[in-house]
Formats: sequence, structure tokens, C-alpha cells
Amino acid sequence: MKKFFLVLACVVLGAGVFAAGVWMGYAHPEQIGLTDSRNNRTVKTLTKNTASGLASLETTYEEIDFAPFWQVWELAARQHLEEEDLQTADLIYGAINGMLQFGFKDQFSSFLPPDVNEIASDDLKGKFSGVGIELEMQEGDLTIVAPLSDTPAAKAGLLAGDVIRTVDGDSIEDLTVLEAVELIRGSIGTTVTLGITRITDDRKVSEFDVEVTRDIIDVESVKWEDRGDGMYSIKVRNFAADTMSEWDRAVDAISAARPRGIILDLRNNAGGYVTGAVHFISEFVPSGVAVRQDFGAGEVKNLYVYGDGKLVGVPVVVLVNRGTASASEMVAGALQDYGVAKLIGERTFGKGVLQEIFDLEIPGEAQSASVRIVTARWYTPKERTVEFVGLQPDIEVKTTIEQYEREEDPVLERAMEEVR
Amino acid sequence: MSTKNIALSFISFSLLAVLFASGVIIGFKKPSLVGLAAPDAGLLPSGSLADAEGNPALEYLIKLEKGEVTFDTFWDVWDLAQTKHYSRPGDAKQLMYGAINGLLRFGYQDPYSAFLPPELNPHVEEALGKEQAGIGVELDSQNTNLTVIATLPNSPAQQAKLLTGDVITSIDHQPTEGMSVLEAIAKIRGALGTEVTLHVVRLLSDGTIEERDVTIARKAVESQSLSWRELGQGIVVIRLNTFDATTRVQWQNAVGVIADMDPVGIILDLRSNPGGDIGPVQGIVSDFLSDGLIYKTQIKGRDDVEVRVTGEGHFIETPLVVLTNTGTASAAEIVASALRSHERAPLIGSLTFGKGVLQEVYDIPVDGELHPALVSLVIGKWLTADGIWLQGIGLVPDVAIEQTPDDIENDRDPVLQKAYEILVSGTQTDFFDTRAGEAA
Repeated sequence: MKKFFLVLACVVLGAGVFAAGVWMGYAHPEQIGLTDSRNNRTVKTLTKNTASGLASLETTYEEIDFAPFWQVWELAARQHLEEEDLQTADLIYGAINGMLQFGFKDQFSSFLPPDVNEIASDDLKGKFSGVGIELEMQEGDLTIVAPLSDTPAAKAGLLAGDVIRTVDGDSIEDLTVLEAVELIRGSIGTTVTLGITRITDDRKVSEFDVEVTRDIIDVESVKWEDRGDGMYSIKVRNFAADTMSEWDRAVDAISAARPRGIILDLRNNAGGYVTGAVHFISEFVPSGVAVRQDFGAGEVKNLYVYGDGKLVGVPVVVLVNRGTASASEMVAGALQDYGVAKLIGERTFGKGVLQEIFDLEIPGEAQSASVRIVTARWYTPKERTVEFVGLQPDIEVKTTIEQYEREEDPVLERAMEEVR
Repeated sequence: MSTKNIALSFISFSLLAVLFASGVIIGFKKPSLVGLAAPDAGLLPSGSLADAEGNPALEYLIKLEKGEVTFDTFWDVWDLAQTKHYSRPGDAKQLMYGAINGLLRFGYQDPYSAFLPPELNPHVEEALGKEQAGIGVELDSQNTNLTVIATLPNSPAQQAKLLTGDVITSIDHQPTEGMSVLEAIAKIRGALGTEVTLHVVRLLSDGTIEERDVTIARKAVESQSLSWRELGQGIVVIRLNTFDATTRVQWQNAVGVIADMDPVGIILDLRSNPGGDIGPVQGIVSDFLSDGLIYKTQIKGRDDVEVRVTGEGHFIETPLVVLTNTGTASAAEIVASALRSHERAPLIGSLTFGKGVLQEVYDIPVDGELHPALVSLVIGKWLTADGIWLQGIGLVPDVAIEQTPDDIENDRDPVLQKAYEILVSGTQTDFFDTRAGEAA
């Protein structure tokens, strides 16, 4: 009997403590440090502690009233012109993208919803079904940075700098780069019609449609060629996951042949992983900084060359154009800074920021989303930035459309002369 | 106490602690499990849920209140950006404003809706006693480019030779990419006598592009929404520059004088008129038509409205032509379309802008700010008397003729000249039988 009461007392006590817990969590969460359910109107957020005098180093939390957001959310929900099949998820994703792009005034940070994220990660792996173009948003225009060689896009005559206005007759205004890519990709053998605006060097504008048949684009990153006389050219398309091993194979073969000159072709190379750039620079530069990275808030991190370059001392020139961006600008900039190589061709794209990719699980979605955040600015060893300005080539050589159509390559020809 | 007892009480205490903690978690995260309603997060400012059904964005708010869904994805990215971004942590208010703009422009895919933070609210400067001035330019967002629709007569913008179709790529060296029209206008405006520098890109008719920086001094731009003059042979040209609060009275005053002259013909010049307040439209159209439909509005949550001719016109029988160009937009297009639909006047000039949406501006109070933010929402559309939505289409002129930059330079106006000739020769009604179909 006594035992029974003891057990009962324990159960009652347990239930009471549990109920007290529920009450605390429900009614007074702030008393136990649980203020931030973040479905609320007031939100705790990181803020710079400017009072401390260490503005860039110390951060504190501050509450901001998030009511204006929810007020506009409700107002728009009630008043905005009826949209066909409006998805709440799209509103949330739109708000996230606006927070990144307008809030940080930064066009390179973006949120990729699950469907788009799948495409983007295929890119970094290097195999998909599409037309074979690299795209970037330039001044609000969806611009072809680079048509990949031997792809349907290149065969159809698309050029770096062409602006895409429509896909299958539909305007792509207001779409992000990846949303547009999603429309352009599709099953192998199907066709897609791109509405193109082209501005030529003499500033003439032409508009036309191009029909392209989709194919498997297996992005082979590194392609090299023996040009005779001990000259070798190495063309690098991007800095994807498998680029470094492809590079190593090419370099092993070339260095075994005792090369007298190397032409490194980084034209229409839109970049990729930073480690790839360091890997490449290390092949030509014996010691020193490869890339300087500034992560903001006083956090600076330099990446150094490995010191085991197989092509150190071999004469080299680098081919660049306005499709040379990001990681490939790191390589071109470093080789130019160390006086290892001259740059030949046209001014480069000018992307001086680094993005990191973070995966995000979305409740109720099978695939994960991701967010690309600009985490750093990078500088060449001589502390130059390419942001907006690009790299000026040492020897400027342009390829006209006529030359391109005749498959002539004056840049390569000039490079052969130079490295000889 | 024996070791056994110590162990027992340790276990009991641990058990109680676990019970309390799980209670806290349930009470905080999932109150519905123990029959408690979610605490009111105050997400629905109006508190009314009556019209939520079938409205996914409102239903989401209710679910959020009940704790059935979360906004966690947003906050995950917010936290990531605040800890990882190069410019971390960013200004929380600017991030929120960015999120609001993104909600409207990416979420609703609507380039016209926009959010203007309190510091850009035009009332702020006025309250500070600074006289506000502008340059007299009307802007719109076309293909995400900030584009000049029209310049007001005798305005600094007109004197600086800005033209319809010019694209402004930066304002005081700040790129306009990602800027809403509202925000751009707020940045162009400023204190009287100060200057603003615009980078202007123009596509010339031979297909080439011209770029330049223009520095323009801000002036008090008078809203002269209307002017008129007699061209000779009893023909009067009435130029409507814009539709604003003063238009109705200015129209009535002008019409009183012109009617007394008993004109032989009227040229209604709606070129470079970006529209504005839709209110004066009915009165203006009613001066030329005896009856009929002018336009229809379709606004979310309201009954469709048909706006008809009032039947008290001054110029029901007077021969009429209407001048249009690519800067003829919105309310100006309503007037042009009504007069054309009822075969009252031919359109002379070029294809109109094609803006068929109705916008409304709302105040959004912001904690700690003296002035509210503004949000401009597309709330509906208007249709022509023939039931056509002109958005992105525009009105096709009966006589296609343009005033080139060269004409403007040399004070020539072949469009007005053509209109005058048509009225003098009395051929203004010749267009109505031959025109095939509708604007397309």
C-alpha cells in the first residue's frame, strides 16, 4: 500500500513537473532563453556593435520589428492582382533572394530552390543535357559568357556576349540565371529556340532567333594539343570537380615531352572551385601567394602555391577574353603578377568575389535547396582586384565575328609568335 | 544515506529534469500536442481571416500562427548570410526591406510593385523643410531597364535632351540595376538647386548605341498638366502632359474657353503622357463622346466597374484626331483607346506604351521611424471598351509617323503637321472602315 502511494506521488510529481515545463515553454519562453521562435513579429538579429569601437570584430544581438514584412505579405495577399497558381514557396524564395540581393546589394548571392539546385550541382559535376552555354547576368541581361566548344550552342553560332531575351518565345525577363538555365535544358534530341540580341564591336545591334537541338554536354575540362616545335596548348573550360585530375594527366604528358612553350587557353572559362586555380598557379610559380582572400571583418586568408610545379621555367602565355571569369581570372592575374606569363586577347569578365555554397533542407521537399553567399573578395598576389574592371591583356587581340565564322583564331596565332 | 539511495535520487532528479525539459519543448514548439492553441504571434495585422480560404498566401499566415508551418528556411539563410557574407552582418532593416522587395518583385514576379523604405519616402525631406525638386522625368521599368517614358515640357530633363526610350543605368554613379522605379525617382529627386548625374544609354535608329553622363540641376518642376493653342484655320491643339490632381480643373477651365471659340477641329496630343491618376479620364473622354463605355476595371476583391460617358460633352461633333507615341501610357492610353474604339478619332503617331495595370500606394509603418514606408502594389487591370488588356501590347496608330531626335533638335513636328493636314482636309473619319482588327 505504502509502495502504491509512493508510486502515485512520483507520477503526480512527474506530471506536475512536465506540466510546469509545458507552461514555461508556452507562456514564458523568454524566461528560459527561448525568445526566438522567429515566427514572431519581433526578431533577434545579429548587429554590428559600433559602440565597442571594434565595429568589424564584435557582433551583438538586437531585436528588430519584422512587422512591416508581414504587413506587406498580408496586404499583397489580399490586394495583389490575382496570379495564376501562386505558390507560397515562391513568395518565400523571392523574399530570400530579395534579402540577399537588395539587402546586401549583391547580385552574386542567391537562393536556389530544390529544382534549380539540382541543375546547379550537375554543373559542378560536369555532365547534363542542354545546349552548352555558360550564362551570367550582366547589367540585368542574361548574357552568354561562353559557348562551350563542340556543343550544339557553338555549332549554332552563338557567341560570348550574346544576350538571351526569350526561350521558346517566352520572355525570360525577371528570371534568375538558374531559372533560365532550367528552361534551356531538357531532354536530349529536343529543340529549344533562343531569342538573341547581339551587339557587335562596331556597336550595331541585331536581334534574331536561333534553334538549337539539345545534346548531352559532357564538360571535358582540360584539352591539350601538341602544336609542333615543342609548343603545347592547354585549353581549360572550367574549374569543376574533376578538372584537377584531368589537368594532372595533361601536365604529366606534356612535361615528359620537355616542352619549349605553353599556351594556356582560359578563354570562355567561367571559373569554378578556387582550389583548382591554386593548383594551376602552382604548376608555373615556384613560391609565393597564389590568391589573397578577404573574408570581410578583417579576416584575410592567403593561399600559397604548393612549390612542386612541373612547368616552372617553361615559357607560357595565357589566352583570355570577356568570358574569362572568376577562378580563371585568378590564374591569369597571378601569372601576370609574377611576370610568368603575358595575357593575350581581350579584357576579362571581372568577377572579384567568391561565393560559398551552403545546402539547406526544406521541410516537405525531397531535394535540398542551396544558397550561394558571397563570402569573400579575392585579390591577385599583387593585391589587384578584378571586380568590374577585369584584367587588361598585355597584348590586345580581338577575334572578329567574320574570323570566328571562318574558324580562324588570331589570338592563338599571336600567342604562338609570342611564346616562340 | 546509502549509495543505493543516492543513485535512486539522482535518477529521479534526472527523470524530473528530462520531464520538465520535454514539457518546455512541447509547450514552445508544439503546443497543439497538449491541446493548447499556439500563442498569437501577431502576424495578421488586420486580425481578420474571413477571406483567407482559397488564398494560399493568407492561409500560410494562419498556419504560421498556429505553428503548423515555419518560416525557418528564410531564417536559416538570414543567419547564414549574417554570419558568412562578406559584408556581414548587414543592416537588419535593409535586409528586411530587401526581403519585402524580393517578395513583391521575385515572388509575385511583378516589376511594378515596389517597396520604398521610410528614408526614401518623399514626405521625409518635405517634413525637414527642404524644398523638394526633380528634373521632370517619368520613368518605367522595361525588360528590367530603367527607361524614360516622358519628359515634362520645359523641365530640366527636357532641356538636357533626355528622350523617351533612353535607359538610365546609374544615378549619381549608383547602378540602377535592381532598383525599383519608385526608388529611382526618390533618388533623382533632391533639394532644390542640387545636381544629379545620370548615365544614359540610347539605342539609335541605325542600331548603334550611344552612352553619356548627363548632369542635371534639380528645379521645382511645375505640374502643368495641360496646355493648348490655336494652330490656325480654327484648329486647336490640346496637349495633356500628365494626369494628376490638377488635371480635372485645368481641363474644365481650358474646355470652357475653347468651346466659346467653336473650333473647326481639335488635336488631342497625348504624346509622352505617362498617365497617372485615372480620375480625370471620364470627364475628358465625355467631352468628345455622347455615350458609351470608356473602360472597365478589374480589381482583386472588388466588383468589376464599367466607366461610361457622362453625356455632357462640349465637343461631341467637333472633328478630332489623337496623337500618340511610345510615351503614351496608362491613363493616356485609356483616353486614346476609348476615342479610337468608338471611332471618334484616328490615332496619329506611333505605337503606345502598353501599360494596363492599376497600382495603389499604401503606407507601412516602421518601428522607430517617423515616416511610414510606402508600398506600391499592382491591384488590378483596366480593359478597353472592346475588352482588351493593353498590357505589353499598346495601341497601333492609324497613321504611323514619328518625330525623330533630329526633328526635336530643329523644332520640327511632322506628327502635329500630319494631324493638322488630316483635319484641314476633313479626312479624319476615313480610317474607320479600312482598319482591320484590333491592336495586336
